[in-house]
Amino acid sequence: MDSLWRVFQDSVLRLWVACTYLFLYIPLIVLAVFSFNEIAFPYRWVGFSLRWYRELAISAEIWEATKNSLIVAGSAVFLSVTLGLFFVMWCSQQRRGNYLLSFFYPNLVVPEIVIAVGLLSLFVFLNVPLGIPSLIVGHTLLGFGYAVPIIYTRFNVLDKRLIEASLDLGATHRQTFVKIVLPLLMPAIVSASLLVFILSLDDFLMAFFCGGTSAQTLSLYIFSMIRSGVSPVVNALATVMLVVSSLLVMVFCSIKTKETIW
Amino acid sequence: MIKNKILSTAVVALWGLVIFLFLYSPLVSHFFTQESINVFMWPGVVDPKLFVEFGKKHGVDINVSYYSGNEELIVKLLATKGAGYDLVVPSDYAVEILIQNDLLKELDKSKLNFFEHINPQFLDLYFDPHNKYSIPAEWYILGLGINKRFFKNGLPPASWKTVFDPKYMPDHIGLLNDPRELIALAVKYKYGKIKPINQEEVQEIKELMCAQWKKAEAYTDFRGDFLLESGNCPVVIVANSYIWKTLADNADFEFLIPEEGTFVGLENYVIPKSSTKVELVYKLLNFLFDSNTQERNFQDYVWLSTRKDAEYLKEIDVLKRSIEVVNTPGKMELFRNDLTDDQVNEIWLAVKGQ
Amino acid sequence: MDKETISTTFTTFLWGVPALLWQVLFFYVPLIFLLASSFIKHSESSFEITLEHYRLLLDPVYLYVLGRSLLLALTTVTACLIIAYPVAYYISLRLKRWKTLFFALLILPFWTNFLLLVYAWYFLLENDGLLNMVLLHLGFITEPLHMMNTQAAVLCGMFYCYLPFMLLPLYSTFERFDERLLDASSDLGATQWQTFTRIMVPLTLPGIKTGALLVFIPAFGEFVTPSLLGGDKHMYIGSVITHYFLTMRNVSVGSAFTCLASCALILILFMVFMGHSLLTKKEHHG
Repeated sequence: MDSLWRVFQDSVLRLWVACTYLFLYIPLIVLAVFSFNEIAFPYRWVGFSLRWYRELAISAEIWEATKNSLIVAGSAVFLSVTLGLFFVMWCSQQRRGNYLLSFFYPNLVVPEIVIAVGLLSLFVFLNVPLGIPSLIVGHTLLGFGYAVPIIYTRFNVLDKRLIEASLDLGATHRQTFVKIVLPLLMPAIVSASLLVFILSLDDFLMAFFCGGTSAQTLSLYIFSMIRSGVSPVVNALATVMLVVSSLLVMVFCSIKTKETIW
Repeated sequence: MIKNKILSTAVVALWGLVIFLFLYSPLVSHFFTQESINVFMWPGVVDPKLFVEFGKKHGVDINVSYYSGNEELIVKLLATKGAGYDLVVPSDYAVEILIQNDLLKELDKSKLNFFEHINPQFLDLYFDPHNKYSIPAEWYILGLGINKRFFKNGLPPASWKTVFDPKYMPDHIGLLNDPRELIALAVKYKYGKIKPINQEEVQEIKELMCAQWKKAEAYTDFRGDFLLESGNCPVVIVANSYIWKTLADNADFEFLIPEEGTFVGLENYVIPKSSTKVELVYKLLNFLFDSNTQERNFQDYVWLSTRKDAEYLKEIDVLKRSIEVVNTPGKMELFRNDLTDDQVNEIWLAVKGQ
Repeated sequence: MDKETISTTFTTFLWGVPALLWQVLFFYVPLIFLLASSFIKHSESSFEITLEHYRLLLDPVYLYVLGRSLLLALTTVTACLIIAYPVAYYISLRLKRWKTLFFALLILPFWTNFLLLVYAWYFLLENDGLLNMVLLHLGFITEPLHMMNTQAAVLCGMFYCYLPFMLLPLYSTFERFDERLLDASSDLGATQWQTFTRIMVPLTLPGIKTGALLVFIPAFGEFVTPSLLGGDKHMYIGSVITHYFLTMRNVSVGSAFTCLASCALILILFMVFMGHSLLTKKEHHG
């Protein structure tokens, strides 16, 4: 009797998990499938067609938005990860290092809308032109919230004796940094970069408030398309972005199997 | 120790300078492009290819920035005293505010070759008598989009009571999401025309719109035609410019212009006072108002021309009817600044906070 | 200190300080500025400190808005927790071979733009959307079900977008969970329910708390998903903030409301924290 109960429990559990995954993925699969549909709507399957992908490829608006998104994301990653890295290094040499690091923890706790709105009011007050630079500033700020803790966590578990040994053996600080510390921190740097990159690409709130209407990013473009109705070009775009995300996830997971970051 | 402190402060100050330079960098690029015109307008209104074409023909760089609402436009121009832009496209009531704040340049109509072709109904209006500062460029009217499939026994009355009177409102109506426009409609329905209202009238409008909210399916500015097409709504309040294409494709839909008259929204071209490229802007305006250009812009970008000789518009039934309404005296009303911000906020939050 | 150390210290400071400066300038200063703007009335000539903006917010409608956001956030957290908990347990502790794959599949929606996720729901829920088409085709219904622009659609969309935020911390906690404790507990005679409530839940509590926070805090300020899926018929905290900052361009009242909403959030979190420590104190004494 007991084992029957266990089997029942097991199957319920498996069903639960299966349903959850189905629920998570059916909308995405539907999106992808209908990006190949011949007509716009109603949602009947008419025939296979690459028409929407062609439209996607020639859309100047989408390329502009993609270019902007990539510039912002790339800059945000570069700035937050490198500056974050140097910050962690600086903190490690200070006596009150922990105190300085905690300056960055509220980034994850305060709702993004409050941060965005605060930045917007400051920018408006200072007459800062809203556009790509203001957006990069905002995304880098959010990026610090992830990059600093991730890099610091990894740095903390490093064996400090390696650094001491390197210095004792006559290497300069710079050599120690480049040849010892950096490679050891690399998994954290890469996962922080991936996280910030995706965060910036998918971000909507910060772009909505601080991008002005001039800096069109992918999120803003999708938002304006959704607001005007349904367009299969968005389906095609969504499928492309899903593929890109999957690749990034694969990279992230392969790092994760080597180290536990979370 | 002191040297350390001075050095640290210097470093921090240096980085502060770098960050600020980075933040303000877009302003710098404005100085380097000499032969250029900076345009500030609604997105999706003029085909960007037209600007590129003009740019190539005259060897000028046209930089287009977009704003998401008249409020943003007003705030920006007030803050920069009009600097940074050569051509701006505000709506009717916004032009009034800009003129009051002395932000606009007077126009030299002799340089504009199209002025006599503009429909006189759009000229000499309350916000700019004698059109000293502005040229009406694009117009639209509000009306009721109907899905005939819901009305087998006859169409609903072509009147605003279809969306305001509980006796006539069907379920699941589509409404505008622009607070000023929707409240203006409510005021017109209740009091006959748009006018300043007192506190008691504010309460009445609140009640009216809250009752309307109960029957609402969705509030949207741009998805009106989609709401009709997806079969969600029998009636939507929508602009004729957004619906004419859907009507052309689908015989099940209809556009009713309420007999009490309706609102006309006008987008206007104005030149900020501090612009130095006036000659170029006049050339651009002549180009943008050229019949050919306007007709090309019409197909994809829903540009309803203010020229009275835009015959291609009259070929479409719903637009022909709209033009007839516009040309009928007394049927056309304009949006005005008659309600204060506080009143708008109070009403809008009361409706949506239910 | 030798020359090299001095120059290194200087270099570290030179490159380490911009991050801190950035954080102060763009995180702390704006927050202070928000707080300040909510108290200042500023026009062409005058500049005064006033509570006028807060007085405008005394209208009960703002309380409804706060309440509605709170309700939405709470329901989202609860729904996500209930669904995610077993899933995290299963993938972490029961799957052996396919664990990495399932984990990857789990975080993929997390790495997709949430607007696309919302858009996917349009496809499914519209009157002529896929779900209705399938049900009509199979003959289960004769008229399309009205699913879009409803509160149900909003909840569905919120749950869909926030599920990964709950799953990931839970998964992470289960990863560190010692499964032998469960065996030990049942060996010692505890029923399944007792093992669950006395061992599993308390030990995974950190993950539950992190997940709940990661979902609650953004959901509290959420307005995009409700406006897109709910027909924009209701105002949430985020909608009011957008209305004042972007539509009406009124920074003063906007900041006042943001401060008010933030205080409400802090208050709620504080009460939860207090409640939690009171409960744990009781357990220790009881």
